[in-house]
Amino acid sequence: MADGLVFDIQHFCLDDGPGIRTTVFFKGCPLRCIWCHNAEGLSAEPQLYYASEKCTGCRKCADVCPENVHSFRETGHDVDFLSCVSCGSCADVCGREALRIAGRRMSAREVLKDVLADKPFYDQSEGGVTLSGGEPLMQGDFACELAELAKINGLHVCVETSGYCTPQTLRQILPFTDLFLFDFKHHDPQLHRRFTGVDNRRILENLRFLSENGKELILRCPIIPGCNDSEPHYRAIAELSEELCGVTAVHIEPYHPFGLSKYRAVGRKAAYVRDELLDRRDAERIRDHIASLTAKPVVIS
Amino acid sequence: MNYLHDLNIFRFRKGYVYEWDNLPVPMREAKVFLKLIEAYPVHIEPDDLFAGWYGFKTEEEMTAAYPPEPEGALEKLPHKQEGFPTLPDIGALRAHGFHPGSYDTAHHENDYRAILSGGMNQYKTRISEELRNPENSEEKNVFLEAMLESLKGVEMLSYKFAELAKTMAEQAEDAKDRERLLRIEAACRKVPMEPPEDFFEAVQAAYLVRILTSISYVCCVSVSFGNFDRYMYPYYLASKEKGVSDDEILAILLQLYRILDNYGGNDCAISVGGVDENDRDATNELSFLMIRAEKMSKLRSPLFTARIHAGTPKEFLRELVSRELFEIGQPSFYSEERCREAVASRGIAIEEARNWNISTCMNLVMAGQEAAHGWGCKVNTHLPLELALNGGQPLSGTFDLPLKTPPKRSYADIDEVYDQYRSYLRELLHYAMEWQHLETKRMAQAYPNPFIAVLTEDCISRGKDRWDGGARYHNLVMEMMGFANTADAFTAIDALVFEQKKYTPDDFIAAAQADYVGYEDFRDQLLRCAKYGMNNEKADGSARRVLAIASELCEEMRAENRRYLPSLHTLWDDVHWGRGIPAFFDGRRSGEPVNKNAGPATLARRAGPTALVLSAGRLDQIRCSGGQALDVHIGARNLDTDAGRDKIGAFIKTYFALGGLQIQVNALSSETLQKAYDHPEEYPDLLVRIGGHSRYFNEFDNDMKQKFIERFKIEEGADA
Repeated sequence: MADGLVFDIQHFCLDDGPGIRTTVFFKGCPLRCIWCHNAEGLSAEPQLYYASEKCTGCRKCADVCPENVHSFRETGHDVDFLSCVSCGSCADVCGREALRIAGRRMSAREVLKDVLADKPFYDQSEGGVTLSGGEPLMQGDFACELAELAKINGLHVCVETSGYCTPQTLRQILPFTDLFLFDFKHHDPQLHRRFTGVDNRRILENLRFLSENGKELILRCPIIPGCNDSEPHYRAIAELSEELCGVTAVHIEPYHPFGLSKYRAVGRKAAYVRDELLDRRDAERIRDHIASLTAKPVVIS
Repeated sequence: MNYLHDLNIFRFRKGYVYEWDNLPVPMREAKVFLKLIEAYPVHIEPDDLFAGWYGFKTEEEMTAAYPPEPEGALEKLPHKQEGFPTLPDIGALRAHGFHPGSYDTAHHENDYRAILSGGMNQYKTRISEELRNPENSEEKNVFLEAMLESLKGVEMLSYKFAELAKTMAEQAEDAKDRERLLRIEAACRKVPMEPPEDFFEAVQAAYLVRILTSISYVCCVSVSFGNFDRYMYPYYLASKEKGVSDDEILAILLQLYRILDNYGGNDCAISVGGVDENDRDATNELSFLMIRAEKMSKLRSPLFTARIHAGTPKEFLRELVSRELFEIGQPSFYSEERCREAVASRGIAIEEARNWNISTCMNLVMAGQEAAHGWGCKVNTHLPLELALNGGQPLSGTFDLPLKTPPKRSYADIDEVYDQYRSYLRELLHYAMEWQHLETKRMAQAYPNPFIAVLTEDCISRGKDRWDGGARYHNLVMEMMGFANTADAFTAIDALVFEQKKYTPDDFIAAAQADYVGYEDFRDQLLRCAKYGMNNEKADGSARRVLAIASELCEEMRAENRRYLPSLHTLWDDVHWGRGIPAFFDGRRSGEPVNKNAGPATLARRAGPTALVLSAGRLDQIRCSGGQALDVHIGARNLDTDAGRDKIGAFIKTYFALGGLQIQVNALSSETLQKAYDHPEEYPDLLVRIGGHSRYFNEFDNDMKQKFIERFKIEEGADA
């Protein structure tokens, strides 16, 4: 019964599966998708998160930090993330919550307690809990325990995954999962490796395994300009959705830059810097195009 | 068209009062009522399907129609005369944001079902019969005569429209036009004295009664239109029987909305849905047509309200949970079951309470039976806690009314603070209620409204004005201003004084009196305390307790047919009222807004719509039957699919299952986002959805906010 590392629990999520849901964000991901919009979900360790817009410059953080992470110059509040040991002393004294530690160790029962607070909404809307991240299956045992507890409590369980995990983990969580929200980022193995850091072979094997085992799947396809906004990829999405009987829908996720500020907040440099959103009309064209190639419903998420 | 009407009636009335100086007061008021009806020009517009426009076209026309105002007219008004009962001086209450309200001339909810089924003639008969009762006092007979006199106004008005329609028909060149006008003429010669026989006649009848109600108020606000799809349904069916198409019904509804938008102000409610007398779903074809008309007209008025119950059909809720409606702030959702229980909590049998109606923006009333003081009394919930902690003195200035509660400065536990709070609140409420009662009574005696008395149950048998003990029920809304801030203050005091023993009540007083300047660390600790609205049992417990005290005191103070109904209603006054209120113990600075309606204080960290609903669901709203809305913002994008609409519908139903009375869901648009950008303090709980993630809009830096707004504009453009 190992504790897990969670960086957020969001209630009233309407896009992560059927009904009203609570989404649990697991911290840590084996992939490094260059467009990732959850920078605080990448590292598998707790880390300092600094929301600069909330800082009032009170300097209390500098007073308590044992590692001298915080300094104040004319340019403002500087944070030396490399020296930070994530002790949380600064977050404790920050009156405006500009500083916090992203990532909290929690037991599955603790997470479940938070999730069950919204049970009246799940009951009314046929909703439930979604395990997301980061990559939830990177913390396989914890994810399985949470999914099992959720099922015992009568909740509908979704797992949102990159699919990059061991077959054992997948087999283990299978009985406790009603729906997989499964990422499909690139059809080309080499480009997949280039953009995400890993090969897509294992991912596709896992996807087929789930479909063959009768699991309901929704393909989630980020559309990233310059990376996968290409005709062969659109065709591959359509073909995969046609080929796998478990796939019930395709969700198109157009690129947005709203995760960029999170990189600054955790002291990382974003690998893919593009300020503009994918135009809504372009997204609709892509949706319509893919929809013309498959009988499965295609929607913009 | 925008005819001048409304408050100008009041300017008229000053002149008329003198013409009947020799008459008994109720008869004089009946005569003024008739004179006003006579003075008002009426109009029928080219495409009108029923008649209903009244008022002056220009200021000049209106001025020319005034009766000459006798010299010193204002001074001669009855309430300025010597011997008119005076009121106790409660300036001390007002100085501290505790407003006992004024005389409410409006907020009467007509029982249209009864009016239409028997026609206005039924009242004539009833009053005449009552006049024959040999046991009547002279005073009663005088009032009954005045009621009878006021009924002459009904035909005066309907015949004015009939004559106009006749003249216009004679001049009409187009045959169809002539037919339309003759139909209006025929209807206006029949209704509302006689019962209508189809939908068109019923709308004509109800609307004429609505005009008369407005004119009798001497101000035109707060005249709602009730459970329209229910009381109109038999007439809808009768029209269908005659072969009238739904398109024709729709055209009448569109005109009705237009006209209500013109005369309804922002406070004329009309409702759809609910249950019938056998608790079966009452949704019908007319309900759907009303929603369709609302979506077509896209007007912010009338206030479109929906009565939702456990068995409300999914397809009906789906029609109401609509982007088109949400973006114009419509509809407001009410729980059929919870509102009925709330009305029953006033001592009305649950069977009878099923006939509750929605009046204006949140009042729950018994149509045609109630004198409903909807403007109500504004209760400063901070003040009794200020007095409790500060030895009987407010945080700013002095309180210049005697208080019997022995002052205290030290407390052993939070329960003692609650007890002291209760004791002060009782005294303050007593002052306010006594003043309000005297004011209402003296004004009711000086300016009775015999026409509304005709339409209010028991006024005929008692021969009295509705505000003077005539109505079966007499209710005054008590608006508990800043209740969430008060609750949060209790939570913080309990945590920091009694549990952690880090501070004393004096620290709270010093910090608040300094407006937290020099007390920033202390304020940071206050902000970190649990607050109502975050689904925190302790903080919500404080809110529940603060509200329970108010409810108990209001129940304790009821007298005769008068009841005081606690409410969390603030409308937009949370900003305005807050401006005049000093800093408070929850960390709120001087002049900042207090919490809005049943929502959390602006300082409360937002924990999402479900947490807010769970917190509000913990309040005993049934006992808080003055009514309150909970405001929730959602992204409009969630309304684009049936699945999304069903989720929002389920969200609303969950709130009602948890005990909520009323919820208002607002959809996010670029316009809202721009407002939130310009005034972030007014939108602390604005949630936006980005790529599978919800964030509070205020968490973005300005650059990101602008980008977000741009995206919304693009999406809206794509939708157009």
